[in-house]
Amino acid sequence: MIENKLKYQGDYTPELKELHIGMGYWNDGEWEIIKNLQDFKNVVENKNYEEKIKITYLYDRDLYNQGWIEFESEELRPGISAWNFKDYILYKYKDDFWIHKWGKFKGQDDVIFRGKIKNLNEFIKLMEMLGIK
Amino acid sequence: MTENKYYTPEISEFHIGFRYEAKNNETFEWEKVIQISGFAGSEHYDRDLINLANDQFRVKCLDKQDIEELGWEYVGESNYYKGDIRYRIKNKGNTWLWLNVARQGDYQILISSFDTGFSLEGDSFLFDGDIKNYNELKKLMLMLEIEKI
Repeated sequence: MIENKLKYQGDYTPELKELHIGMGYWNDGEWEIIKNLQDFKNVVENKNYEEKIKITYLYDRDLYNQGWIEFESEELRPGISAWNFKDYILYKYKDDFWIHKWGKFKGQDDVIFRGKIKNLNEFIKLMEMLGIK
Repeated sequence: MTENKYYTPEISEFHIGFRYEAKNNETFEWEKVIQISGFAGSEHYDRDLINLANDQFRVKCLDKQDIEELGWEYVGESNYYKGDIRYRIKNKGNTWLWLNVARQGDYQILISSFDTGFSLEGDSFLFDGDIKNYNELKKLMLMLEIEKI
């Protein structure tokens, strides 16, 4: 059994600059999405913003919900978790993420992203930029 | 990559710090805006929504000026990928990173830690995807921990 480094790591109050329509967040323990301008306004003007509005750090449930499947391999070093979606493989080690696209160069996989992903909203945007979804 | 090419942003792109342009209703000139609060920089949500629907907002597609403003130094045409335009930046740790703009398409960007953008070790890429505008590159640089020294 590999050590999964993508377990729940808690949440934080997002900075206002992180807010945009389409993003998900926790409001007093309920998962909500900013669907329109009224929602956006309600969040920004929430009197208990610091206390109630939260975003979870990216964790395994987020990946599952986006269609990624965790897999195990004897080739993986301890502490690395690996996930598959279509032709893409995501590795997580400590705070670092790698995303490979299989077959990019002559049958070999290759890295298309190497960096930090803070939360689900960043992950969804990144998948769009990488052409994954 | 074309200079001074614009598109109408999706409503989901607006966030505090977002850089875009808004048409002045009196002069009809485009004015540069950085969103500082609410939606589209004001608290007039309904008015801003109408403006968005009427193409009164636009965003400049990522271009040379944007890339240089974010600290990248223009190098020129790539010898390895003919026609690609290269930029470089000295990152923390005193390492050079390279940004290649593909000759085809508007957005395809390759960021790597290797001069040619490709190494046999296969681990030199930091990013290989599309970046639509200044805002996205700025955000991505944070995610890639790119910081000019």
